[in-house]
Amino acid sequence: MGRYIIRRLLWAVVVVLCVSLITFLLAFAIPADPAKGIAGPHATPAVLMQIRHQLGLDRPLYYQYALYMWHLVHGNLGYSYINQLPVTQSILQRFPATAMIAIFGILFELLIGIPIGMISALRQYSVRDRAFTVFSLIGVSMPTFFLGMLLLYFFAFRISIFPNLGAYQGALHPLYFVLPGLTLGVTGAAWYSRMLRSKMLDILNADYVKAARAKGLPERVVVWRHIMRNAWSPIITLLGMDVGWFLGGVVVVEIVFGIPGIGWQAWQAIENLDHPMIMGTVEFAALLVVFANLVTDIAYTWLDPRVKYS
Amino acid sequence: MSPDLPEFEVIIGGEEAGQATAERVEDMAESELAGAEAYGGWLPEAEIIETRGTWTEVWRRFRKDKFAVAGLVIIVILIVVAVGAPLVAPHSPLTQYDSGLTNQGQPVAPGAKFWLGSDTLGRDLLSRLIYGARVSLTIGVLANGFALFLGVIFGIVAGYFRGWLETFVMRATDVMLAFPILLLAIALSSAISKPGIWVLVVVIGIVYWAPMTRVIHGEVLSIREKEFVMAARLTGCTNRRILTRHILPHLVAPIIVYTSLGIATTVLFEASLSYIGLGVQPPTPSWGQMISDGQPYYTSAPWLILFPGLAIMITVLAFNLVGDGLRDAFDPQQRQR
Repeated sequence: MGRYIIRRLLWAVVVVLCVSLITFLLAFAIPADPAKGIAGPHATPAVLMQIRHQLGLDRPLYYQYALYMWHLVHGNLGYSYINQLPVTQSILQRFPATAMIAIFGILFELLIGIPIGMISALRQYSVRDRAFTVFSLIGVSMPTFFLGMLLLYFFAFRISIFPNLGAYQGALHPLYFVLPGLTLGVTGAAWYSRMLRSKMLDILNADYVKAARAKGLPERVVVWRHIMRNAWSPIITLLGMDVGWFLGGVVVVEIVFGIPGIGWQAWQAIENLDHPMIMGTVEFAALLVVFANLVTDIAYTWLDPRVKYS
Repeated sequence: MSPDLPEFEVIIGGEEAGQATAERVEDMAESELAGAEAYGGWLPEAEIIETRGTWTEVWRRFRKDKFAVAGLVIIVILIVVAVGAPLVAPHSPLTQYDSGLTNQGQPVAPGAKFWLGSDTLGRDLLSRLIYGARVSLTIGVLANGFALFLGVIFGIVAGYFRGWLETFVMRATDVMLAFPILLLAIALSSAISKPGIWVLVVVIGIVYWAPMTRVIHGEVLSIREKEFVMAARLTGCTNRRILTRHILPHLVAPIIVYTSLGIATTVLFEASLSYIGLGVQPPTPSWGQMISDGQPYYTSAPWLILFPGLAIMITVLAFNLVGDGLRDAFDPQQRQR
């Protein structure tokens, strides 16, 4: 177990390194000069040269990357080209809003997805099952930004339960994050219920379930002790992916609801050619994904001793 | 079929005996086919019969699935509308009509002239939706085709040859899947040039090759351990022959299924990209961009969001329905609906 975790950790470091290298090259491949962006369109060549020198952009690419990584190892993600603030500080500042969306998103996914999946599987081919199947298919096919706009229209504009678009000023009041969370939750729940349903259907005919029924256990015990105990694996997988992905910032949802979180920041950074910010936000998101996957894999083996690490 | 098949009209032992006979017949048919394979497909008749049988059977099962057929009908309609856009669209998608704006300069609600209303510049929304279908479908189909093509090549190489190649390819998918995909696409498309259809196809293909590779890799892994592959190897088939004659045919089913499911994903992804402003450039209409243009008007002119949103949703839904239907039709044991 210990060796397995160490190997996985090392591999996670390699993945994050690769991501950083690719992001670095991509940021430099964008055919525009960040110095021009900073100095404005009328800057003289001398000024541009000076800015490039200040930013270290006149050094060879490998040197710049090595320097960046050196700073990174020391916990320094550099300074934004645009507002000169430390990238780490900007990320930490934006993170709470993103985290709130993520928490609500995951909560809704589980609250909607698990019951629907369970009912569908236990009452296969019933009217409810069919209705839920259609619901899941629509959820899977729904563009998040469209669902977000619909929710805004009905629950912020028509019935003013939640704050309207443009009301968000940076406060972490839960009311701002219910609709964004619901948007992620409904589209995500569709995957949970589909996966859970098919996993449960596999299990329903297993001998141990028949045996449990045959010895007269109440249905509640059969479902929770014998079926659900063995059906969580797709939920854990999806949960692991979503936690990493949501915390890294879901750009589209942040844009729809006008909540500037990590995703929004990364998107802006690309638009502004803000290299350190691009690197910082993408690294941060990748780190979360890799870490969440790691935890998922370890959780698997911990929850189910039959799973072997290789 | 060969003439020496046993006749089995008398079934004394009831259902079970009948089943046993049927199984025996099936066994014989299978061994016969295996013989044909071993002779390098020397018995052309047997192969043709088998092929036709599979496809007819798949189609028969697919047809029974009402949802899937509905999806197929929607896709056909979408394609017809997209191809025949100039004939179908009631107005030009680019003309800014004077009557398309109210006196206050607001978009006109759905009515007699503009069936689905007009947009913020006085253009006909329905015509723009119809032309937008071209962009969505073209990019969806091509981008997914590109991703699937890469996925099949990498998946086969990794799954069949194993060794360091497999390690390398699968670790590369790990790295790809750790990327925030939308950000990767944004960075890629700014790095390449001004977004056009081909740039989007390449960008989306690059983003989605990793999940496709994983799927195909898994399929190849399970096929390569099958007896017929071992038999082919024992009879001295070259790698190329095993890959093209024995493994690739078994990948046809997943490839077809993921063509449909993948298009659903890529259409959705293209819509997100164009919503952010990285799709095809205006004035070419694309559904995602129409929604972002209409967003400031979502309280006064909700049709600007409703109809493009529905268009995206229905398109994606149709490809998902067909994909699910195909998967069940190819593999009735896994049937879930």
